[in-house]
Amino acid sequence: MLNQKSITKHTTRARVKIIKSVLWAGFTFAFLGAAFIYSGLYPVGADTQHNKLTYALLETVREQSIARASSSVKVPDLSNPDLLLAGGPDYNEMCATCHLKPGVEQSDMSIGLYPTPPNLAKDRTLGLADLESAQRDFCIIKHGIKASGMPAWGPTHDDARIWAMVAFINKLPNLATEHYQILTARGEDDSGSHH
Amino acid sequence: MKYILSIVTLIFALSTNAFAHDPSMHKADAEKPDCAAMHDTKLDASDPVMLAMQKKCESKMQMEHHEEAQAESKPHAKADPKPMQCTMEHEKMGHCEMMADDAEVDAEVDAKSEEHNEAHDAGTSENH
Repeated sequence: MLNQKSITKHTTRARVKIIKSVLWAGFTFAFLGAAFIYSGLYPVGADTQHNKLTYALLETVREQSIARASSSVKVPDLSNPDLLLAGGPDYNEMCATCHLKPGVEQSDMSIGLYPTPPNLAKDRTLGLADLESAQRDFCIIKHGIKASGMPAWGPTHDDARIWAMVAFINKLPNLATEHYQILTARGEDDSGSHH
Repeated sequence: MKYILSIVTLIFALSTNAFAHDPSMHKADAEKPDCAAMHDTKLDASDPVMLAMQKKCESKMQMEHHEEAQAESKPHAKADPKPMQCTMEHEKMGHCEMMADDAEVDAEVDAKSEEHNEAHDAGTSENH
Protein backbone atom coordinates (compact mmCIF):
# COMPACT_ATOMS: atom_id res chain seq x y z
CA MET A 1 0.00 0.00 0.00
CA LEU A 2 2.80 2.35 1.04
CA ASN A 3 4.76 1.37 -2.03
CA GLN A 4 1.85 2.24 -4.30
CA LYS A 5 1.44 5.64 -2.62
CA SER A 6 5.11 6.48 -3.12
CA ILE A 7 4.85 5.50 -6.79
CA THR A 8 1.83 7.81 -7.32
CA LYS A 9 3.67 10.67 -5.54
CA HIS A 10 6.69 10.16 -7.72
CA THR A 11 4.60 10.15 -10.91
CA THR A 12 2.80 13.34 -9.90
CA ARG A 13 6.12 15.07 -9.17
CA ALA A 14 7.44 14.01 -12.57
CA ARG A 15 4.33 15.38 -14.30
CA VAL A 16 4.59 18.71 -12.48
CA LYS A 17 8.25 18.89 -13.46
CA ILE A 18 7.41 18.30 -17.13
CA ILE A 19 4.65 20.91 -17.09
CA LYS A 20 6.99 23.41 -15.43
CA SER A 21 9.68 22.74 -18.03
CA VAL A 22 7.22 23.21 -20.91
CA LEU A 23 5.96 26.45 -19.39
CA TRP A 24 9.53 27.73 -18.89
CA ALA A 25 10.44 26.76 -22.45
CA GLY A 26 7.34 28.52 -23.77
CA PHE A 27 8.01 31.63 -21.71
CA THR A 28 11.66 31.71 -22.78
CA PHE A 29 10.69 31.24 -26.44
CA ALA A 30 8.06 34.02 -26.26
CA PHE A 31 10.51 36.33 -24.45
CA LEU A 32 13.29 35.74 -26.98
CA GLY A 33 10.84 36.13 -29.87
CA ALA A 34 9.53 39.42 -28.50
CA ALA A 35 13.10 40.59 -27.84
CA PHE A 36 14.04 39.79 -31.46
CA ILE A 37 10.96 41.51 -32.88
CA TYR A 38 11.44 44.66 -30.83
CA SER A 39 15.19 44.75 -31.42
CA GLY A 40 14.57 45.64 -35.09
CA LEU A 41 17.34 43.29 -36.10
CA TYR A 42 15.33 41.54 -38.86
CA PRO A 43 15.98 43.30 -42.19
CA VAL A 44 12.69 44.20 -43.92
CA GLY A 45 14.29 45.92 -46.91
CA ALA A 46 13.17 44.45 -50.24
CA ASP A 47 16.80 44.33 -51.36
CA THR A 48 17.65 41.76 -48.66
CA GLN A 49 16.33 38.27 -49.28
CA HIS A 50 14.64 36.12 -46.64
CA ASN A 51 16.62 33.16 -45.38
CA LYS A 52 15.54 29.86 -46.89
CA LEU A 53 13.52 28.78 -43.87
CA THR A 54 11.55 32.03 -43.67
CA TYR A 55 10.95 32.04 -47.43
CA ALA A 56 9.77 28.43 -47.45
CA LEU A 57 7.48 29.12 -44.51
CA LEU A 58 5.94 32.23 -46.10
CA GLU A 59 5.62 30.55 -49.48
CA THR A 60 3.85 27.55 -47.97
CA VAL A 61 1.44 29.78 -46.06
CA ARG A 62 0.77 31.80 -49.25
CA GLU A 63 0.20 28.82 -51.56
CA GLN A 64 -1.97 26.92 -49.08
CA SER A 65 -4.09 30.01 -48.47
CA ILE A 66 -4.56 30.69 -52.20
CA ALA A 67 -5.37 27.02 -52.90
CA ARG A 68 -7.99 26.97 -50.16
CA ALA A 69 -9.59 30.29 -51.17
CA SER A 70 -9.63 29.51 -54.91
CA SER A 71 -10.95 25.94 -54.72
CA SER A 72 -14.59 27.11 -54.61
CA VAL A 73 -14.28 29.66 -57.43
CA LYS A 74 -16.45 28.84 -60.46
CA VAL A 75 -14.63 29.45 -63.72
CA PRO A 76 -16.73 30.86 -66.61
CA ASP A 77 -16.09 30.14 -70.30
CA LEU A 78 -12.82 31.92 -71.07
CA SER A 79 -12.64 31.06 -74.78
CA ASN A 80 -14.58 34.11 -75.99
CA PRO A 81 -12.24 36.38 -78.05
CA ASP A 82 -13.99 39.45 -76.61
CA LEU A 83 -12.42 38.63 -73.24
CA LEU A 84 -8.95 39.03 -74.76
CA LEU A 85 -9.92 42.45 -76.13
CA ALA A 86 -11.25 43.49 -72.73
CA GLY A 87 -8.47 41.97 -70.63
CA GLY A 88 -5.55 42.95 -72.87
CA PRO A 89 -5.63 46.73 -72.36
CA ASP A 90 -6.25 46.29 -68.62
CA TYR A 91 -3.27 43.93 -68.32
CA ASN A 92 -1.07 46.35 -70.22
CA GLU A 93 -2.05 49.27 -67.99
CA MET A 94 -2.16 47.55 -64.60
CA CYS A 95 0.06 44.45 -64.68
CA ALA A 96 2.72 44.64 -67.39
CA THR A 97 4.99 46.97 -65.42
CA CYS A 98 5.67 44.23 -62.88
CA HIS A 99 4.63 41.02 -64.66
CA LEU A 100 6.22 42.05 -67.99
CA LYS A 101 5.09 41.41 -71.56
CA PRO A 102 6.40 39.65 -74.68
CA GLY A 103 9.77 41.06 -75.68
CA VAL A 104 10.47 42.61 -72.27
CA GLU A 105 12.65 40.59 -69.90
CA GLN A 106 12.77 42.93 -66.93
CA SER A 107 11.65 46.31 -65.62
CA ASP A 108 12.50 48.53 -62.66
CA MET A 109 9.54 47.04 -60.81
CA SER A 110 10.32 43.43 -61.61
CA ILE A 111 13.90 43.95 -60.40
CA GLY A 112 13.02 45.98 -57.33
CA LEU A 113 10.10 44.03 -55.93
CA TYR A 114 10.66 41.19 -53.49
CA PRO A 115 9.45 38.51 -53.83
CA THR A 116 10.12 38.92 -57.55
CA PRO A 117 6.79 39.07 -59.42
CA PRO A 118 6.38 36.14 -61.81
CA ASN A 119 6.99 36.85 -65.50
CA LEU A 120 3.52 36.07 -66.86
CA ALA A 121 4.70 36.38 -70.46
CA LYS A 122 6.68 33.19 -69.96
CA ASP A 123 5.21 29.77 -69.40
CA ARG A 124 4.64 29.32 -65.69
CA THR A 125 5.81 26.01 -64.33
CA LEU A 126 3.34 25.59 -61.50
CA GLY A 127 2.12 22.26 -62.81
CA LEU A 128 -1.50 23.26 -62.37
CA ALA A 129 -4.37 22.27 -64.63
CA ASP A 130 -6.02 25.06 -66.67
CA LEU A 131 -9.00 25.18 -64.33
CA GLU A 132 -6.88 25.42 -61.17
CA SER A 133 -4.63 27.97 -62.81
CA ALA A 134 -7.63 30.15 -63.75
CA GLN A 135 -9.07 29.87 -60.23
CA ARG A 136 -5.71 30.80 -58.74
CA ASP A 137 -5.18 33.79 -61.06
CA PHE A 138 -8.69 35.08 -60.37
CA CYS A 139 -8.19 34.87 -56.61
CA ILE A 140 -4.81 36.59 -56.68
CA ILE A 141 -6.01 39.41 -58.95
CA LYS A 142 -9.17 39.96 -56.94
CA HIS A 143 -7.75 39.73 -53.41
CA GLY A 144 -4.06 40.54 -53.89
CA ILE A 145 -1.29 39.15 -51.66
CA LYS A 146 -0.27 40.79 -48.41
CA ALA A 147 3.21 42.33 -48.19
CA SER A 148 4.17 41.26 -51.69
CA GLY A 149 3.37 44.34 -53.76
CA MET A 150 0.39 42.56 -55.36
CA PRO A 151 -2.66 44.80 -54.87
CA ALA A 152 -6.28 43.63 -54.57
CA TRP A 153 -8.08 44.77 -57.73
CA GLY A 154 -11.42 43.45 -56.45
CA PRO A 155 -12.53 46.60 -54.62
CA THR A 156 -12.31 48.66 -57.80
CA HIS A 157 -12.93 46.11 -60.59
CA ASP A 158 -15.92 43.82 -61.06
CA ASP A 159 -15.59 40.07 -61.53
CA ALA A 160 -16.28 40.21 -65.29
CA ARG A 161 -13.34 42.54 -65.77
CA ILE A 162 -11.06 40.34 -63.65
CA TRP A 163 -12.08 37.21 -65.60
CA ALA A 164 -11.18 39.04 -68.82
CA MET A 165 -7.70 39.60 -67.41
CA VAL A 166 -7.48 35.93 -66.43
CA ALA A 167 -8.41 34.93 -70.00
CA PHE A 168 -5.73 37.22 -71.36
CA ILE A 169 -3.07 35.93 -68.93
CA ASN A 170 -3.86 32.36 -70.04
CA LYS A 171 -2.96 33.29 -73.62
CA LEU A 172 -0.06 35.58 -72.75
CA PRO A 173 2.81 33.03 -72.84
CA ASN A 174 1.88 32.17 -76.44
CA LEU A 175 1.58 35.74 -77.69
CA ALA A 176 4.14 37.27 -80.02
CA THR A 177 5.07 40.91 -79.55
CA GLU A 178 2.87 41.91 -82.51
CA HIS A 179 -0.15 40.01 -81.16
CA TYR A 180 0.33 41.67 -77.79
CA GLN A 181 0.48 45.13 -79.37
CA ILE A 182 -2.78 44.64 -81.26
CA LEU A 183 -4.69 43.08 -78.38
CA THR A 184 -3.59 45.61 -75.76
CA ALA A 185 -3.92 48.78 -77.84
CA ARG A 186 -6.73 50.86 -76.46
CA GLY A 187 -8.03 52.78 -79.45
CA GLU A 188 -9.59 56.21 -79.19
CA ASP A 189 -13.05 54.65 -79.53
CA ASP A 190 -12.40 52.21 -76.69
CA SER A 191 -14.07 53.57 -73.60
CA GLY A 192 -14.02 50.25 -71.80
CA SER A 193 -17.78 49.80 -72.27
CA HIS A 194 -17.28 46.16 -73.20
CA HIS A 195 -16.54 45.36 -69.55
CA MET B 1 -32.24 56.16 -38.83
CA LYS B 2 -32.55 53.35 -41.40
CA TYR B 3 -33.07 55.97 -44.11
CA ILE B 4 -29.87 57.80 -43.15
CA LEU B 5 -27.93 54.56 -42.96
CA SER B 6 -29.10 53.49 -46.42
CA ILE B 7 -28.14 56.89 -47.87
CA VAL B 8 -24.70 56.72 -46.25
CA THR B 9 -24.22 53.17 -47.58
CA LEU B 10 -25.30 54.25 -51.06
CA ILE B 11 -22.92 57.23 -51.04
CA PHE B 12 -20.10 55.00 -49.85
CA ALA B 13 -20.81 52.40 -52.56
CA LEU B 14 -20.92 55.05 -55.27
CA SER B 15 -17.74 56.73 -54.04
CA THR B 16 -15.95 53.35 -54.09
CA ASN B 17 -16.92 52.89 -57.74
CA ALA B 18 -15.52 56.29 -58.56
CA PHE B 19 -12.03 55.02 -57.80
CA ALA B 20 -12.26 52.15 -60.32
CA HIS B 21 -9.57 51.94 -62.96
CA ASP B 22 -11.12 54.03 -65.72
CA PRO B 23 -10.06 53.07 -69.28
CA SER B 24 -10.76 56.63 -70.45
CA MET B 25 -7.81 57.78 -68.30
CA HIS B 26 -5.58 56.09 -70.82
CA LYS B 27 -7.15 57.69 -73.89
CA ALA B 28 -4.51 60.39 -74.03
CA ASP B 29 -1.63 57.93 -74.40
CA ALA B 30 -3.71 55.37 -76.33
CA GLU B 31 -1.68 53.41 -78.84
CA LYS B 32 -3.34 52.41 -82.11
CA PRO B 33 -3.22 48.71 -83.03
CA ASP B 34 -0.63 47.88 -85.67
CA CYS B 35 -2.95 45.76 -87.80
CA ALA B 36 -0.46 45.34 -90.65
CA ALA B 37 1.50 42.91 -88.44
CA MET B 38 -1.56 40.66 -88.16
CA HIS B 39 -1.25 39.47 -91.77
CA ASP B 40 2.19 37.94 -91.13
CA THR B 41 1.01 35.74 -88.29
CA LYS B 42 0.86 31.97 -88.60
CA LEU B 43 -1.99 31.54 -86.15
CA ASP B 44 -4.94 29.35 -87.02
CA ALA B 45 -7.98 31.29 -88.28
CA SER B 46 -10.14 29.81 -85.53
CA ASP B 47 -7.68 30.64 -82.75
CA PRO B 48 -9.29 33.00 -80.19
CA VAL B 49 -6.22 35.25 -80.39
CA MET B 50 -6.62 35.52 -84.17
CA LEU B 51 -10.35 36.13 -83.87
CA ALA B 52 -9.77 38.83 -81.28
CA MET B 53 -7.16 40.54 -83.44
CA GLN B 54 -9.47 40.43 -86.46
CA LYS B 55 -12.24 41.97 -84.41
CA LYS B 56 -9.97 44.71 -83.14
CA CYS B 57 -8.65 45.51 -86.60
CA GLU B 58 -12.11 45.34 -88.13
CA SER B 59 -13.39 48.02 -85.79
CA LYS B 60 -10.26 50.08 -86.44
CA MET B 61 -10.73 49.81 -90.20
CA GLN B 62 -14.38 50.76 -89.90
CA MET B 63 -13.40 53.81 -87.92
CA GLU B 64 -10.80 54.78 -90.50
CA HIS B 65 -13.36 54.39 -93.32
CA HIS B 66 -15.79 56.53 -91.36
CA GLU B 67 -13.14 59.21 -90.86
CA GLU B 68 -12.24 59.11 -94.56
CA ALA B 69 -15.88 59.42 -95.55
CA GLN B 70 -16.29 62.39 -93.24
CA ALA B 71 -13.15 64.02 -94.62
CA GLU B 72 -14.46 63.56 -98.18
CA SER B 73 -17.89 64.99 -97.41
CA LYS B 74 -16.53 68.08 -95.63
CA PRO B 75 -15.15 69.90 -98.76
CA HIS B 76 -18.59 69.67 -100.43
CA ALA B 77 -20.26 71.10 -97.38
CA LYS B 78 -17.77 73.94 -97.19
CA ALA B 79 -18.17 74.74 -100.91
CA ASP B 80 -21.77 75.87 -100.45
CA PRO B 81 -22.12 77.37 -97.01
CA LYS B 82 -24.20 80.44 -98.01
CA PRO B 83 -27.61 80.65 -99.74
CA MET B 84 -27.43 81.20 -103.46
CA GLN B 85 -27.11 84.84 -104.50
CA CYS B 86 -27.84 86.38 -107.83
CA THR B 87 -24.60 87.19 -109.58
CA MET B 88 -23.82 88.79 -112.93
CA GLU B 89 -23.63 85.40 -114.61
CA HIS B 90 -26.99 84.35 -113.19
CA GLU B 91 -28.51 87.56 -114.45
CA LYS B 92 -27.22 86.91 -117.97
CA MET B 93 -28.70 83.43 -118.01
CA GLY B 94 -32.06 84.60 -116.67
CA HIS B 95 -31.64 82.59 -113.48
CA CYS B 96 -32.27 85.54 -111.19
CA GLU B 97 -35.98 85.45 -111.91
CA MET B 98 -36.11 81.74 -111.22
CA MET B 99 -34.29 82.23 -107.92
CA ALA B 100 -36.68 85.03 -106.96
CA ASP B 101 -39.66 82.77 -107.78
CA ASP B 102 -38.17 80.01 -105.65
CA ALA B 103 -37.74 82.42 -102.75
CA GLU B 104 -41.38 83.51 -103.04
CA VAL B 105 -42.57 79.90 -103.07
CA ASP B 106 -40.45 79.11 -100.01
CA ALA B 107 -41.88 82.12 -98.14
CA GLU B 108 -45.45 81.02 -98.98
CA VAL B 109 -44.79 77.49 -97.76
CA ASP B 110 -43.30 78.81 -94.52
CA ALA B 111 -46.27 81.10 -93.91
CA LYS B 112 -48.75 78.28 -94.56
CA SER B 113 -46.99 75.90 -92.22
CA GLU B 114 -46.93 78.57 -89.49
CA GLU B 115 -50.68 79.15 -89.92
CA HIS B 116 -51.28 75.42 -89.77
CA ASN B 117 -49.22 75.09 -86.57
CA GLU B 118 -51.08 77.95 -84.91
CA ALA B 119 -54.44 76.42 -85.83
CA HIS B 120 -53.29 73.06 -84.50
CA ASP B 121 -52.09 74.61 -81.21
CA ALA B 122 -55.39 76.43 -80.77
CA GLY B 123 -57.30 73.21 -81.41
CA THR B 124 -55.29 71.23 -78.89
CA SER B 125 -55.64 73.93 -76.19
CA GLU B 126 -59.45 73.95 -76.68
CA ASN B 127 -59.58 70.20 -76.29
CA HIS B 128 -57.73 70.49 -73.01
